[in-house]
Order: sequence, then structure tokens, then C-alpha cells
Amino acid sequence: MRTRYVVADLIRNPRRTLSAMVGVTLGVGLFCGVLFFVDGLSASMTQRAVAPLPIDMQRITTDRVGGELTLTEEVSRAAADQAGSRREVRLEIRNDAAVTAHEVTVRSAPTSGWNYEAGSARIDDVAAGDGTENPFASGPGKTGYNLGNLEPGASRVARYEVVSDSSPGADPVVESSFSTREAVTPVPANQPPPVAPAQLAEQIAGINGVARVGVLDSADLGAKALSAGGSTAPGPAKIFGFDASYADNDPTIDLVDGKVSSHGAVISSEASQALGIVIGDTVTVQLPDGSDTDFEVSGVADLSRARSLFASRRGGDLENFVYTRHSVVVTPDVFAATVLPAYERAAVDLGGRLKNVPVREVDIWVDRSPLDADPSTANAQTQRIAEDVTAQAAHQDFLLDNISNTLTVAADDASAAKSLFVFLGVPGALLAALLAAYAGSVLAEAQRREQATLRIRGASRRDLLRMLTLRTALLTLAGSIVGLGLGFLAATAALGLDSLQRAGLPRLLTSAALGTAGGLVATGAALYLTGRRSIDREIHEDRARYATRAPLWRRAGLDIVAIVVLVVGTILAVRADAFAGEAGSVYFGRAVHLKLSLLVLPIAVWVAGTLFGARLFGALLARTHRHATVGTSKPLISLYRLGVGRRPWAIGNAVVAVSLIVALAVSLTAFTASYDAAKVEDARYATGSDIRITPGPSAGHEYTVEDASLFRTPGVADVAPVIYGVRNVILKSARTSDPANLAAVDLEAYAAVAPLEDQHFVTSTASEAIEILRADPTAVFLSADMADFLRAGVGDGLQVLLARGTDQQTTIDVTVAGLFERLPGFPDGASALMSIDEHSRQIPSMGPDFYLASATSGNDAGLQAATGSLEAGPVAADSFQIDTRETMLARDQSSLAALNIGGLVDLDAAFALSMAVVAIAIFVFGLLLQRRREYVTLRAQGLEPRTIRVLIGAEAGTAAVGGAVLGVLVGAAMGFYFVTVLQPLFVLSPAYVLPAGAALVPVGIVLVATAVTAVMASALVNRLDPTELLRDE
Amino acid sequence: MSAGVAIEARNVTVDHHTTAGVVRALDNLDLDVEAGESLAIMGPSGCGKSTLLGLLAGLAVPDSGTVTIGSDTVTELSERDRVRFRRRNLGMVYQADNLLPHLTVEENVALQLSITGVKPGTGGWSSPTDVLSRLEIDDLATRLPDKLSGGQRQRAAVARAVVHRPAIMLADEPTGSLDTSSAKAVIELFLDVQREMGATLVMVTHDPAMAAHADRSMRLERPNGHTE
Repeated sequence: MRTRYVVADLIRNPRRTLSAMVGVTLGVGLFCGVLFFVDGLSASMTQRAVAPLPIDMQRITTDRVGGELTLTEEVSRAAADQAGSRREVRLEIRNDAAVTAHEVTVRSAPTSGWNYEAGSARIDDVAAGDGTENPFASGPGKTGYNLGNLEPGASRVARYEVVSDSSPGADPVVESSFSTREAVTPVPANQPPPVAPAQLAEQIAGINGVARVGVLDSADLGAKALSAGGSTAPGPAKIFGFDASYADNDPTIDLVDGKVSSHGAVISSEASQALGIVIGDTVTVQLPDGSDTDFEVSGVADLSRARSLFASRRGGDLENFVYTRHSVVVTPDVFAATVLPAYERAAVDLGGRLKNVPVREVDIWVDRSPLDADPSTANAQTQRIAEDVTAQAAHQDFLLDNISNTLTVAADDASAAKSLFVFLGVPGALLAALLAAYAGSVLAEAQRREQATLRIRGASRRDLLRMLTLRTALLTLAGSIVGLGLGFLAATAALGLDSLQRAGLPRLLTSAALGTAGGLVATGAALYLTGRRSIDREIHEDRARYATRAPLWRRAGLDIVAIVVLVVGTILAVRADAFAGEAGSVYFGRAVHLKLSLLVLPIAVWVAGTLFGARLFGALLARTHRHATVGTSKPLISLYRLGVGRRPWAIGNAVVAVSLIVALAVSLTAFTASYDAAKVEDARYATGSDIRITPGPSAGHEYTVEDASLFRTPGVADVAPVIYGVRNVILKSARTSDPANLAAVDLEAYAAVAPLEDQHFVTSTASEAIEILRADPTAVFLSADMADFLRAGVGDGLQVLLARGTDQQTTIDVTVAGLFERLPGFPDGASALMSIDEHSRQIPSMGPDFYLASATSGNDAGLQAATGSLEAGPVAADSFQIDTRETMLARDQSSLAALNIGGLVDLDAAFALSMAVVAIAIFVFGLLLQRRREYVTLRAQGLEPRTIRVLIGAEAGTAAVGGAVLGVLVGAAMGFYFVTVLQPLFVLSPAYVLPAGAALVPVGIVLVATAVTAVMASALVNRLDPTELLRDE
Repeated sequence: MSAGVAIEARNVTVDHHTTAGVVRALDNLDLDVEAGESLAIMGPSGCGKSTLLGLLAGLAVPDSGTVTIGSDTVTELSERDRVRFRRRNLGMVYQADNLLPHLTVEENVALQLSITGVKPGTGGWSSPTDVLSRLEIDDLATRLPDKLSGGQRQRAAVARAVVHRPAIMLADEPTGSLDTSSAKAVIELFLDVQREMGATLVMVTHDPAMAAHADRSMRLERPNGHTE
């Protein structure tokens, strides 16, 4: 019976049912939408994170330069070891290489439980050592025995005995290894013969999860190593060994002409220009042993972007792009046959002085399609592949697992992303619950009469509560089903169906369950509790008093509590420096960390601002009726003033609802605008200005400082020439020296085009730094890190080796004039800054590496105009690479860039604005439900429908305007707090941006919704049957 | 405003359209009420008493037939003119007081004057207080309706209905929610005021005792079931 009554009530009052359901629908929709959004984004995070990787894994072989030596260790067996047991150890070292191994040192020592038998050591059956100490592990350092040189094909045999003590240990009985002058790293005994890279590549290719492999050899050749005819390429050169398939699979290796040949060599465009040779000519490569090798040029390649070739292999700076302009490429077979032996010979001659040994590696690309969308799971997958790769020819070499390292950072970023979604999603969820509660309270008020009737007919409180429970259950169930669909559609609209499909069905189903349950509990509870309060209220409670009574939050002083929380929280956060989180960095493998506890502050601003504003607004409304009298003014005015003045909280509650919604929308707008502006600034900072113009390797001529004027085309404001390179100089202080990244810039132009900020200089402002450098040609600014390393301070003298590794290299004396933290334009970190004029004076032949140009107008159109004029002008005339802050933004390697914060904010804002419309509609139609008898009475008294329409519109307008104005103010403050607590998302300190036009959109939507619903409500009033309503008790 | 006017209804038919079909509420009804007369209409539930009052008030229009009040054929007036007619000529009392809950008794009464556009003392009572005094509730003038008893609220409703001295007074079960003694007091006061003003009164009631106070009474019967 109860069920039938409730179902009939829901069906026969469709507007009421829909009003109650819409809160639940939007709540569940928002919950599910955000969770689906997270799924979709997470699905793209793995792909986004690994996309920029040039090589997924690098199996670096430790094939020794200096020959193939093997040490065989044999220990005699015994039936059972006991105290005093004796074993004989036999060590044989062989040199199977074609060259002599020098200073071959064998080290061998008994393990715990075994002791060297004094006097037992023999080498080639000749007693060795002093007769007491183990000669193969002598002294405190357990130094090995130096056997001297070992000729090709020769071997030496060493023997000694060990005796067990009272408690002999298990195997191994001894541990042995060897080293040579050429290969100083000790090599354990009994190592299997090294597997050649080609064979290793074949084995790795068969591992499940590996998409393809390629062998890459590389070696530094030193200065002037490439020549042809009478020409020599200046500066250092590099030789690579890879085959045609390797080049085909790497889009950054741009074979401009010709091909990779099994006998010839491909040369870089710069080498081709420097030597004046083309395909078919001969290039001579001088190898480290002093020998020359000729190759026929089979191709010319632009390698200036080949990250797989020039990414640093040094542990400290694996992501640095260390480019060598003059390069030559041969096949791995040629490299092994020609280059490696030369290095072996050089190693023999130079020994430890041979600093740069060839690197032989098997590059591995994993099959990325099966990788899980979640970076953590994907990381586990790639680590399993890495284990399988490492298991091939184990101990021979080591693995650089770039993809797992990247995914580790991405996993942390994914965690930060979830925190961010909590930041941006929680207010929306609160809002949905509040909307449901608001709808519930309005509808419960409208149902008081029916409940009173039911009570009169004998329904107990328990019966009413059961009916409420049933009604709530049906409403939330129906609302949840619609909300689930709405959430999916919203996430699909924001991300696209593909992203959601990538997330996989199980994850989407989990999110659907979580979102539905969360939204259902939050909104259902809000709906139920407001209904329950209404039932518990005395049926015959004084209507007028009820209408004028302040709401619960006002009576409980929740606004004051929120203000206290806000003030105390802000003070504590400022004192603890909690806002200044450390920004994430791909370069340093550091993920963004967001402090969830700070979320309380924007929410406190939101609640405190809205409620306190509503308190003031309510007080203001209450004053309107003080001097209002009926009869002396028009009925509309007196009705309005007395209506809002004596029932201020009907409007006050609507103001709270509208303000909360508008505030959220405005804060999200402000956050998005600030985020976008900061990202653009970040990109501009990384680029160095709006545009970076880099002469290509095949450019027609060497560009000079003066050529900056070529690029001052229409739309370009200024151009700064820059000389810069990774480890392009050596800085030497009184204490130490180190390779450094020196930037030499046209100071005045650099100050004009680059986004220099005072906070990035330690000892001066930005303008002071530029002035200091201009005034003193010998002055340099150092990065704080470099100054710390060099132990140099302001005023100290330094020596700088300019044009390192070239013919022109020269050392100059400079003075440290100041320190900086970072400089725009050098994302891999400039270590020193000086004037390009002084640099050019010292090295006249060295032109700028690139030019930085600023656009006349800072907006996107200005940038496009400047880029367009450059591309139509000087850039079209020669080979240049143009990078802009836009292309830099698109190349952002951070997986956080995959977060699509704009999409999430759009989704949140769309729901917030929907809620705003619904809240206004609930308010207006709630008014109609509650006051329809009043309106009909006024009609019967002779008040014109037009006047009633204006009255409804005036009350709704008061709520809408009050809520919207308050919402904008609160949203502006809330947005500021959002930007402040989410600072770690940005590289640079974000500026707070509140776009007035965008912020007024929710206001406009609220006002339009108010006007439309007021008109609709008025039309409904006119359709009411006054005869029935007026006679109804 | 003016003394009572005659009411004439001819061949009035009203159909209510419901989900179950069309229900005839009034079927070719004729009605004549003389100016200044008080008429009590009685009849079973569903016989169309309230519907008839709604037609006389201009709140609804019949499907056929005419209603003439004084010189105005109400059924031929536009919605806007019916509002004006109602504002100037009608005073209405219902079983529910229908007072605006956020206005005091005096404000409720004064609002009717304000809607009618009559300044106190220029055509009606000299002030809302006078009419409240006449109805013996002047001491309740500043109270909100919820602070009044049922009888007091109904007197306030009567005061609101008569304050602008309407020519026609319509009452739908005006004492239906009151106990017998309160009902008697209210109806006597109501009729006294009606006679003092000379207004024409049409009152719907179930109670023969109440009907007995009127000059004349008539009985309405249910029309014959459904029509298509």
C-alpha cells in the first residue's frame, strides 16, 4: 500500500519528482564523470610518458678494450670438509686477443672459513710471494698479483692451497678476478665468453614484449679526426656504427641523401659542408691509434635532432643532448672490424689515459601497445621485460632501463593527478549533495501538507519515514541510472571515446560502481535527511515563524567556523611555507607532490565566503520591510518588500546555492586561466622567448652575431643571438674545474626578449645583472650550483676554456660578478652567463648557436604573425629550425601534461552551470509550489497576472543577482587559493589570472535561467485552477 | 464602492476534462439573484456549487451560456477586463482564510484596498482599522495570521473581502472550518455587513442553519453523469 502510494505520488507529480531527481542525477553524473575522466586520462598517461623516449632500454656492453682475457678458476673437490681440510686452487689466465694485455693483475682470496696455506703459492710452478702472506690478496687492501704483460695467445697458471678452519664455510671456497692496464674494472673468474652485440641483439629480440632491437656503436674521435682531400673538419668528431634498419626506425635520423651502406659511410651535413664532399667522395677518419681509414661517402644525414645518437650515456646527465657536429656512420660490422681494433691498439699504447672508450650497445624498443594504461602497472610490465633482457648473457654488461625509469616518474605523476582530481572534484561533489539537499528541503516543504493529511488519516511517524525511505530509494536509483549515463557522456565529450576505451572495461565498471555509490550515498543522504527533518518538524508549527526562521547553518554559526578555519589554516600554511611546494621535473626524475591537506583552504574560502555573504545579504533583506507599508505604495512594491523582508531565508538559501555554484565555476575559470597562462610562460621560459631560430646543419653559411638583424621581420620585436652548448667550456677555479654549459648572449637584446625575473638571480636583480655584465666584459655570472661546486664566490677569479675541443679553444680570465638560480632558454641548465661581445672578441669565428626572438604582440595571433613573417622571409632562404613557445608546450614531456586539466575543469564547470540552472529552477518552482495559494489569492483579489509575474521574477532575480554577485566575489578568492595551493604544478610562480569575460559566463547563465524559469513559473500560475485551490483547506 | 447589483446566469454549462473523461459540472443552469439579495446555494458535493462561484467571480468561463452581473456580461469580458471587474466589484470569502501568511491582519486588509486602487476613506471604509473594528478584530490588526484562531482568521478574511465595499460578495463555505458558535457569530457579522453595504451575496454552504440566515436559498443537483 505504502509502495503504491509512493509510486503513484512520484508518477503523478512529475515536476516534483524530476526536481528531486535532478540533484541526484547531476551528483552521480559528476562523480562518475570525474572518475571516467581520471580513467581516460590515466589511459593516456603511460603512452604520453613514454612517447618522447628515443630508446626504451639500452643494453650497454662492457666488451673490454685491450683484448679478450679469461681467468679460469678450479678448486679441488673433497668428500667432506672438516676442520683442517685442504683444497688446491688453480688459476689460469689466457689472452686470446690479437694484442698484448698489459699489467695483468690476478686477485684471489679464500672466503670465510678458509685460510691461505702459507708458502703454497706458485706461478707457473715457481714459488710466489714471501712465503707467509697470500700474494694474490696481499696487504690491507688485499691487492692482487701483477703478472706483467701477457702476449697474444699466452697463458699463465697460478696455484695455491687453502685450509679450512674449525668451521669451514660452504662454496665458493675462493673468489678470484683479474684486471689489466687496459681494462681496470676487475673481471670475475670463470666468466663465460662475451656474447657479441649482434648475437645478444638476436637473443633479446626473442624476448616476449620486445618489439625490436638494434645495435648501436659509438666512439668519440677527438679533434680534427675527419678529413677529405686537403680539408679537415674542425672540432671533435664522432663515429657511429648502426645499420640501415636502425636508421629507418628512428625518425630523428634524417638521411638527407644516399643510404647507409655496408661498406661506405654516411657523414653528417656539417661534416659534408666542412669537408666539401658529397656522395661518392672519400672521407678519411683518423682513429685513436693514429691510423687513418678511408670510407666512401654513401650518404649525408641531418643528425642534429637524433636523440638516440646524442643523448648522453653518462650517469649524471642521461637526458642531455650532447651534439657533435661532425660525425660519420658505418655499419656495426665495419665498426667492429675497423674501429674497435684501433681503440684496442690505442688502449695498449695509452692504457688508463684512453679516456673515451667506444660504447657498444643493443638498443631495445618494447612493444608499447600491451602496456597497461596505468603507469604503475606498465612500470611493472617493463621491469619484467628488463629482467628478461638482463638475464641474457648476465654479468656481461648493464642495462639502462629508460622506460621503467620514466614510468616510475609517471606513476608518481598519476598519483599527483589523482590528488588534483580530488582538489577539483570535491567541491563539485559537495555541490551535488547540497543541490540534492536544497531540492529535498524545497520539496519537503511542499509536501508538509500531504504529510499532515497522512498523519490525520492515521499514518505514524514510522510510516512516514518508511515512505520517505522508499521515495528516496526510488528517486536515487532512477537518478543514479540517468546520472551514470550522463557522466559517461560528459567524460566522452571531454576526452573522446577512444580514451575511455583505452581505459578498459574493468576499470570503467569499477569507476561506475564507485561513482554511482558515492553519488548515491551523498545525494541520497542529503535528500533523505532533509525529508526526515521536515517530518520531524511539528506539523502545526507556526508557518510564519518557520518562514522567517534562519536556516540551520546560520543558527549554528557555520560561516564563522569556516572563517576561523580559513584564517587559522592560512596562517599555519604561511608559517610552515606549505604553499611553496617543489615543482615536478622530468629532468630530475621528480614527480609533482600536492599537499591534500591544503585542500581545506579553498573549500574554507568557498564555504566561509558564501555563508558569511549570505548572512549579510539576509540581514540586508530583513531591513527592506521595516518601513514598508501596504496602501501607501503600489501593491507590487509592498508585496515584494514585505515578502523578502519577512521571509529573507527563502531567498537567502537560494543565494547560498547559487553563490556556491557560481563561485565554483568562477574559481575553476580563474584556475584554468592561471594554469594556461603559467604553462605558456613555462614554455616561453623553456624556449627563451617567443621564438627560437636555430641554423640547420645544412645552412648555407655560418651565421654571425650581426645576422640577428636578418630576423627582425614584421611582427618580431627583438632578436638576441646566443652561443650555448652542453659542456661547451671548462670552468676552472682556484680549487677545481668542471665542464660547464656557458651561455654567451647579446645582453641588451637578451634582456629584451627573454622573460628574465629578479627572483632567478641570487645576488642582484635581473636588470642589475645585465648592467654589471655590460659594464665589465670580463664579468660572468655563475649558477649557484656551479659556484658551489667550484667553491667560487662573487669577486673570485676564474679561468674559462672557451670553444672547448676546437682549433680556436682559448682560456680567458674572468671574474665572478654574480650568481643566478636559472636562466630562460636553457632547460638543461646554463652554468654560466657572459656577454656574447666578449666571446666573439675571444673567438671571432664562432657564430651563434641560435637566436631568440620576441613577438611584437604577446598573444597567439602575434606569435603566428611573427613566425609567419620569419618563415616567409629569412627562414625560407636557408635551413633553419624554428621552435616556438607553442611547439615547446606541445613537446612538454611531463606526464602531468597529459592531465588535461582544462578538460576536467570544463567537465566540472559544465556540471556546475547545470546545477546553477537547476538550483534556480528549483528555487523558482519551489516558490511556486509553496506560494501558489498566495498567488491565486492575489489573482482572485484582482491583482493582474502581469504583476504576479513581475513579483515572482523580482524575488527570483533577487536570489539570482545576489547569489551571482556573491559567487563571483567568493569564486575570485577561491580561485586565488586554488592557484596558490596548486603551485607545485608550475615551474614558474604562477600569476593569478581572472578573465572577466569568462567569469561572467556563469553569471549570465544564472540570470538567463532565472528569467526563463520566472516566465515559465508565471505561466504555470496562470494555468492553476483558482476555484479548486482557493476552496481547498 | 456601489450598492449591490443583480446577477443573471443563463444556460450555463461547464465540463471538466479529466483523465477519466469529461465530467459535466453544470448543465444548462439558470440563476437570478436580485441586487442586494443574499442567496444561499446548497447541494451535494460535485453538484457544481464552487464551479458556479468561480464563474460568477470571473475566475473561469463556462463552456456555454452567459453570466451577467449588473450591466457587465462577465462571460464576454477579456481576461484583463475580468480582473478589473473582479478587483472593483467582488469580495470573496472561502472556507480557507487564504490570508497571506507574511502580512499582518491589517496589511492583508489594506492590500485589497491597494490592489483596488482605493485610498482609505475615499470610497470604502475610512480605513482598514475601521473595518477591523466593525468586525471586532481591531485589536488583532498587527498580528500575523498564524497567531489567530480559526474564527479570527475568518473574520479577517471577511474584513479583506468587504474593505473595498464590493457590489457582489461571494462566499464558499465561509464557516466550514469553524465550530458552530464561531460559525454563527461569523455568518451573522458577515450578513450584517453585507446588508449594511447593500451588496449582493451568493453563498455556498452545506449547512442548512447557515443557509437559513440568507434571504433565499436554492438547491443544486448533480448533472447527469459523464458526457462525451
